[in-house]
Amino acid sequence: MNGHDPDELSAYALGLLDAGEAARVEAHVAACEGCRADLTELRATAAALDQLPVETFVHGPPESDRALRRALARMRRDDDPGR
Amino acid sequence: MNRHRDEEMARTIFAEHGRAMQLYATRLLGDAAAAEDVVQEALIRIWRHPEVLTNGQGSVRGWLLTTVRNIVISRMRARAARPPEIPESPASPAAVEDHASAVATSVTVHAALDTLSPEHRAVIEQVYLRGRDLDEVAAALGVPKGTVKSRAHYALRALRRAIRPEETWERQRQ
Repeated sequence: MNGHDPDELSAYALGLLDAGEAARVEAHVAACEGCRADLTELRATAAALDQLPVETFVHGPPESDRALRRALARMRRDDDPGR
Repeated sequence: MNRHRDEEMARTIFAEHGRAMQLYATRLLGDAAAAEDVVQEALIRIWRHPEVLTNGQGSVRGWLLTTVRNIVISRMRARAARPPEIPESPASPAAVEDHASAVATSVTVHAALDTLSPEHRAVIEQVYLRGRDLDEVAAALGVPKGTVKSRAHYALRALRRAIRPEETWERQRQ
């Protein structure tokens, strides 16, 4: 990494860089206070993402719709939804 | 009250979030059939609290996954209270609760994800789903690796602003 490169910093914080790229970022950050501070904040945000279950990023319905069918049956049976 | 509207809501929720709920419950319980029960219960709970869908606070996904986790914890506690008939569960309630406290504090992060543009959100999703392999993420999105890095940067910056709006991201440089 030559000079300040926010894209490389973010990729580094997310663990996307290979060893050679990561070493270049580390060398720059060691010598650049501004990028060091940016990296601290980028890492904090990446760490917040790490707390989420990976299922957070899965979309769509499951293979079986049994849970939905059973829930709909309960909703039809239950005259008082408790509202 | 309005049965048709309620059923549509349940179908819509299931179509978008059902797989995430099912996989999460299965991972926590180690049992796909028990996980289906949990998903069913979560659908009933959002039916009883439809304000979650419209109050604009936090994300539906965050609410649902947190609800799934809460149901799993209460079922594990019930199981632990009657040990003889219950086979060994794959995760102890304590382990699930450790993980869960992190999830609870992450409702804000769910909401922050909802503020991202589709392009930026897609990069974050792919990074997390594909084990942080840059080549795979670039291939999945059909963009160059440099574009992935650039979008990842904008996404992280936007998330930072959404999570901690009181702080400014950009620092002055001389």
